[in-house]
Amino acid sequence: MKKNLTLTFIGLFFLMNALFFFPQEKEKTNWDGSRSIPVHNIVLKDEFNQKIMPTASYPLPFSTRYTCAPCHNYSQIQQGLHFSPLSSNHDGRAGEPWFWVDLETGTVIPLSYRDWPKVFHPEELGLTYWEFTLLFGRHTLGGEISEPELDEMSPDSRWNVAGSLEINCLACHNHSRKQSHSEWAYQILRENFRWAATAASGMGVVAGMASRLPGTWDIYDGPNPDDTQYAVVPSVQYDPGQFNRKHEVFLDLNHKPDDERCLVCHSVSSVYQRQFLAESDAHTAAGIQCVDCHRNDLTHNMIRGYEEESEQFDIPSASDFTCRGCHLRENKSTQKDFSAGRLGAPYPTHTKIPPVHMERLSCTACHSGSIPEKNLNQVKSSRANRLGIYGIARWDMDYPVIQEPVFQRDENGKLTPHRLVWPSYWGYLKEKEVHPLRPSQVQKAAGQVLHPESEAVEILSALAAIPDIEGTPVFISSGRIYKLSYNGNLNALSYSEETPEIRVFWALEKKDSITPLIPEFDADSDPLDRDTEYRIQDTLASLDEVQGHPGKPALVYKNKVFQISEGYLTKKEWKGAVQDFPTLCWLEENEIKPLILEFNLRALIETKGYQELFTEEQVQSILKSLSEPDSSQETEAGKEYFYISNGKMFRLDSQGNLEVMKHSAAQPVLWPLAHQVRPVQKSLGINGCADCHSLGSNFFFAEIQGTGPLKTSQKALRSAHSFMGMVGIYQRIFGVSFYARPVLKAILFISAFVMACIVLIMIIKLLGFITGLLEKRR
Amino acid sequence: MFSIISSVLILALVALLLYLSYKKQKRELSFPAWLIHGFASLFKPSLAKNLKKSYQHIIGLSFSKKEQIILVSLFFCFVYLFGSGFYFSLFSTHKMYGLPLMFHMIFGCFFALLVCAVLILYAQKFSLLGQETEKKGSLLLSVKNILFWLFVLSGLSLVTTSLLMMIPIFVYQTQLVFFEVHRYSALVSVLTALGFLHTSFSKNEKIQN
Repeated sequence: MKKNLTLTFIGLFFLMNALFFFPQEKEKTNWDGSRSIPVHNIVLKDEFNQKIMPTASYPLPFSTRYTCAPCHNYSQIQQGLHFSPLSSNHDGRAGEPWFWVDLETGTVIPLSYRDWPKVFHPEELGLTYWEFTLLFGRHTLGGEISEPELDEMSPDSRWNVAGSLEINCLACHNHSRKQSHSEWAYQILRENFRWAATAASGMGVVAGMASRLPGTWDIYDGPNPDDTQYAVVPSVQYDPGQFNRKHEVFLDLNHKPDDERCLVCHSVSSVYQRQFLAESDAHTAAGIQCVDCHRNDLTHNMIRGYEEESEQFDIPSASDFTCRGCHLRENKSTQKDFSAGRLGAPYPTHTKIPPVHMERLSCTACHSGSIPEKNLNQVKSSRANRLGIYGIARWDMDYPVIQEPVFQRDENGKLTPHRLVWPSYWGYLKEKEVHPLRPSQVQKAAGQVLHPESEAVEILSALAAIPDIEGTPVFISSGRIYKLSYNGNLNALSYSEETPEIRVFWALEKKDSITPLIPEFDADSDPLDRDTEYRIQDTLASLDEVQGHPGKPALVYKNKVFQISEGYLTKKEWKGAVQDFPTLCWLEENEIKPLILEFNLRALIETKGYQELFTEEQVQSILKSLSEPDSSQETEAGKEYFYISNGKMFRLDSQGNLEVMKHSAAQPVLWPLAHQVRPVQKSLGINGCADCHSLGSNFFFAEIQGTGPLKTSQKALRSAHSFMGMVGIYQRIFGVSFYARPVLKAILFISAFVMACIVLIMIIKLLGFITGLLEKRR
Repeated sequence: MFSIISSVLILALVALLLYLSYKKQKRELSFPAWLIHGFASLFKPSLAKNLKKSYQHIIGLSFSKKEQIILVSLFFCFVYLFGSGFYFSLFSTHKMYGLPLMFHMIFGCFFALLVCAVLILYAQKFSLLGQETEKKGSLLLSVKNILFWLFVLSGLSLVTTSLLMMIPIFVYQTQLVFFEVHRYSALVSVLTALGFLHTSFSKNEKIQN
């Protein structure tokens, strides 16, 4: 027994020595501890790892892979959140998907390589990496899918011409004001992938378009001296002033990217807000940068900052950078490198807010995004609506229509504000499974149905060519005036002045007035008035130039018809319906056909100048075209074609009529929003319980209506509570109960007062009894 | 923590009271057999009849109509408040919310009013200064009286904390303190109510000091 005790003591002695005198070895980091940023005077290297000489005759663009590589491990950086949608271990919480928008076919389809709800994998639409890069490279940073290995290249791709789109380190880290995202987007569009980073950095000017080069061209081929006009080989002209005598360039780099750089891809703004009134995020206003919370190490696995992230990715420190991590000092980090409540995050008092709200709502529910209103707020985001690209043309788009806030439960069961987009796409159902169609497939089947304005554009263009015309040709129909814009498109504006009661009134727009293209005249006079005759003749001659018209151009007025025959204006008796106003038309076998087909005119009236792009009639026609057996290939049996828009599915019934139905595929895609954070004074609940709990509060009862490119009355309509998984009537009753709360409080107060008085009397009596005072009094 | 403390205390008290009841009845059955017998009797068709009879015997003969309404209402209010409150504390990860909370508040108000009524009616009866004892110069510290006043004090605490939680002037942390006080007061009120009911309806009336 004694021996055992001695051995135990010896063992303990050695253990203590081991603990105190041999401290545990800590993991060493690459950081030397300095908080300064090294000066980047570096040699630029091209994709062949060769030093770039700016004075060379055909210098290549710099390659970030080789230029940054001596100091920074490119393969490690490739694992980063922004560069690895394919190889990432976890897809994480749903984020904003990519939206393939094709306005011609009314396609707004959410895509992502990550496995998020309600989004399509690009492969489901047959999108190759090449196509994906061309579509969305404008707002990516390159890498992985845009930098594929040889075996990942699809046959239709042109990577050998365009080059690969390497990770553009400068897109985030360049502190120079010359860094241009617009330039990056232009180069992607021109398929100048390998030149994009150089052009965007402002270190050189890139000319030429890889998209115009033949598919056989290779970087080794160099420039083509025979073509300096059209298929110009892209080339870069470096600014020699930026190079020193050692051919080094000073790169003004930031270890922590500026917010400006993040906002290129992550801006979200209300559609209806004026720029000078737009508020910044509360954290930005307090001087906190994006990367102060969204941190990363060299792997560039950026912390997104949501609550479940630390568990999902097994990064305990991620919980330190959530709202709760900073403000409530709740963190799960075992590493004590950071103190909680960082950056002076104030501890919230949450006065007036019952504690249950902290369990049932995410922080963002009250503090982020738009304040709930009767209808959702429409916002635009950089990546979805192509913001932040500037040039002569406007790059931003109205589609997709993003709305916020919609409150839905997150993985913790907390109500979290989301952004929402109703998808719109063509597809077919086969064995109840949804298969979306690519826009090109729809275009092929639909033909001219998708372009109702093309006929009107051709006619107006032809009329504009009438010699000595003293105005702009226009037409007026159903209270709207249609005319050509400067770029040849059709514009529609409302028109309230009086016009003849005819379906289409062709006219000339002068500075302050509208006059008929062919004014009323005496049709029976022979010869006609000289000016009228010339106007009729010139108009009909111009119309004759219109391609593919269904008959000869003619003017019918009263009981006369005017046509051009062998270069001369002829007048004949008209045996058809008498026209009270000079009517331009196509005449085929004595049958009048309107200049603009009635189908096209209806589509124009319904859609031109509105956000919607086409009508139910057009959808019906396209669905019929899609359902018809192809001339080369028979339509596969069992396919039911559909169009999804406005939260509904449209398809043909057995009689070929358009039927509308509910379908899960038509439901909106949602993703949680975190920014922008509003100041406390603008948080939900600041005005009391009634901010959310009232008979018709916007929080629970905002109306969420399906949106889409189709003009229809058959729109999905949901109330906000349906997204929360709550019963509306119950929420109304609960809301009403808040009116009774003052009564409840009064009852509680009176009861407490009475009880306290009786108890107090009893206590006084008891004290009197114990001290003997009561006995003395008796 | 609260869930463990409350579960242990309530179960222990119920077990103790059952055991005391068993002891008093001096049955020939063993305790487990007695328990099973008692449990089985809950499912007999004559249960309703027996309950009515017991009610008449215990309440009906002793109290006026008005008193009966007050006591029965208090009993049912208390049962709902106990059920809803302890369900969320013991079996749910969330604090009470929604419709149960709304009814909890409404029944809470009724409870407050009924406790007031009971206090007005019976404060004198359960006074610790009994007429007879006063003359003798000692307190009337019966278990029943103590339990009555403990119940009243916990009720007062329940009403006050719920009122304070509804007044929008306290910060989140203070509200959490009120919440903790509220539920521990609820635990005390449940324990005292159980004890009081047991002492009231058992044959052994008082233990005088």
